[in-house]
Amino acid sequence: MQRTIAPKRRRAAGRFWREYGWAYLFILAPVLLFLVFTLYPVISALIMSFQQYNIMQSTWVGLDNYERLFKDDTFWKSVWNTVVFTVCTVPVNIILTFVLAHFIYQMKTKWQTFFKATMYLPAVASGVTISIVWLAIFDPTDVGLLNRFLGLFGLDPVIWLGQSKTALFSLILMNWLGSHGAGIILYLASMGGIPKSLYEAADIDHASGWTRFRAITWPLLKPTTLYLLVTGVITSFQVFISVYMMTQGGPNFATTTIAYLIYQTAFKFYEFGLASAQSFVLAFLIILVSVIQFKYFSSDVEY
Amino acid sequence: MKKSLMLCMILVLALMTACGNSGDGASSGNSASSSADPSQDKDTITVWTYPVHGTYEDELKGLVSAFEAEHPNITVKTEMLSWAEGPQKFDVALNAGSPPDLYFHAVDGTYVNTGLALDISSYMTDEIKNDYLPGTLELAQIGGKQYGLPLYQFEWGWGGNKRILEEAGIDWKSIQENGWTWSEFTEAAAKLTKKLPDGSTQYGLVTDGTSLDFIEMLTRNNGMPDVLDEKGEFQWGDERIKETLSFIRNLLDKGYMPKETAAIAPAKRSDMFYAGQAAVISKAIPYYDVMIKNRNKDIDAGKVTGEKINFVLLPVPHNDDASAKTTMGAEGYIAFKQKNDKGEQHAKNTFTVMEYLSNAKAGNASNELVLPFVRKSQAEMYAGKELGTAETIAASQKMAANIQIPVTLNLDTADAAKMKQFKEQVVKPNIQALYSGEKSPDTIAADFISKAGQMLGQ
Repeated sequence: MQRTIAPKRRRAAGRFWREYGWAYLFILAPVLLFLVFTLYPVISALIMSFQQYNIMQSTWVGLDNYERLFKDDTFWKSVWNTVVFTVCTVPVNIILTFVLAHFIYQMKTKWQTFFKATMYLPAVASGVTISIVWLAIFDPTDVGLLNRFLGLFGLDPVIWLGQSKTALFSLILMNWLGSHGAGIILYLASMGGIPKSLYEAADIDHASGWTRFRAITWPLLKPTTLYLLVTGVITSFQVFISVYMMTQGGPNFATTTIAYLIYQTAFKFYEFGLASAQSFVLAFLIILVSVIQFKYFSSDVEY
Repeated sequence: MKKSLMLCMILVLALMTACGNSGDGASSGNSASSSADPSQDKDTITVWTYPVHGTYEDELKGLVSAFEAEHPNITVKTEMLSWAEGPQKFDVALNAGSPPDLYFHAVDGTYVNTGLALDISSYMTDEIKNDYLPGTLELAQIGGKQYGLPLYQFEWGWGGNKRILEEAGIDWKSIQENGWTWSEFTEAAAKLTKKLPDGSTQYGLVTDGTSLDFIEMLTRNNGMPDVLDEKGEFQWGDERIKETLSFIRNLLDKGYMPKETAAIAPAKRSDMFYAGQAAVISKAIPYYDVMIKNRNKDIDAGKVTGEKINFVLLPVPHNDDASAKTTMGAEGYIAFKQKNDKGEQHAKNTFTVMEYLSNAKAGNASNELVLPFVRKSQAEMYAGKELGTAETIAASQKMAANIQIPVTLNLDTADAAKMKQFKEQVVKPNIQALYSGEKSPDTIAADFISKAGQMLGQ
């Protein structure tokens, strides 16, 4: 009996590989890249978070790194700053992006193309370059662009990045004014996908502009909005370049975010174990927030 | 199907082989050409360095070519890093276990802590040791072990705009000769601060709000060598730190320093000094003399716009009842081994390259930077060819007499690492809060004491 089953299985396996073998070969490269450049570093970092890391000889310290960071005021300050940054930037950015996309959508195609390209420009520019430009805008003396603007209204120069009460807001302002390109492209694509017949039906019913927005546009754009919300939160939780380039986390930790703290712990103090623990707490926070977003915002999304 | 499976296996094997070989390039090269005399085996030494001065890249190329001509079996691969990105690149490489064989920097306890810094003490011949001027080799030692060879001694001071100082009647020659106290500086700052015809302010002193040089230089001039002393005892916990912080606060309150100091970046600080908006700049190094002379030439040639200025090197003022101290140390090449150690001969070759890159001819770095030479042979080679003005050279030598040896060279490496962390996480934010007026000197001093208890256990 076994003799007859074995050749059958071999034949089935042979057929399977003949039909699907090339598919597995094609996905082999990305799978290997994932294993080497994503999974392996993540597992290594997880192990490292339980060690006092040293390149020559690491020591297992159990949960000490996690205990240290939970007792560290700077860590909680960085969590607070990151949450404030996220709460202030993501919703405002989504609203601004939507409004801009709405206006651009009303325009003729050539103007749409022009504004899409203009709005997308910051997305292709280096974060470092943009930060340098903003450093000039936030120049604390009266020659700074923003302070000159305030001067037109008789207001005194503001030390934007040099005092705790304005430093984080300055980074938020920078984010509000420069990160809409990708969102606009997505919203415009989604707006183009809404069937015209729905608006025609609304016209027949004499629906107001607000009703058209509430009953047609908004529900049909919800998948895009959810996507922008989730990716926006993830990106905001990882904010680093602007902090590194413009404030170095100061003044007095006013702009120290979790990502910057991780960098500082790892590359200034060489405490890679503690930095790994901080990274996993950040990852946990991002996962938690993303799960909550999907749970509460995706229930009535129409795909 | 067998073919596709075979292809998969080949691909996996190729990747594994590629990964397995990473970092072993040099050693495989060695074994391929090993001979009876290991010192003649082919070897490659990697050097990561910085544009130490304006023409250092060309100078280094010349040194490397000459070295390779003399040592045909050794290839020197150099990489010129940028001052902005280089330290991060090196830190990543070091902590991945694959630092370059030679790196340009001051010897640092955190490097030694990794276990990858190479102790070169055993390669130092008497001839080499005797060529170094007294006290200079020690600037690249930690715990009595030699990890680097100094290329030059760095020296931090303040810089003055000669025109502004003279217009305000400040006797800068006397300051260079005799130093000055905090009270004398405060009086001078009052004379140097004024409104300019265009409505802007000329400040007595400008510094940047992002680095710790300013507070470190002032505390050293108030009897505190650093946050910890050489024995590892906390220094910044008594009246001296309150006095230092109050001195700074007073300069800000009186308007002698810009109220925007917390947000002034180093480049902005230099711009203000060049534009005549500040009479004195902190920090300054003697090399400013050469830099400013070159800038003046560029202004004459129409390449740069702005006012030509003349530089005056000034010592940092000291508290009235403390002695003057000059922050000094040494920078040069530090030797490293890799996690996959390439062996004793490679270490010896690394030292040979290191010594060559720090030889008499390499003393041009000290000459260009208007800094004290570290080797007798360098001083002899460049005698009479000094690039700095006579006043700056004399002032630099006078300041060097008050050298404050970095405590990190004698401090336990674990304490040195803790002190570094304390400076970044406690001192820096508090100093920024002092500049912006968010915290008083008393509150900051209390915070130093409280955080020292938590972080330094004192």
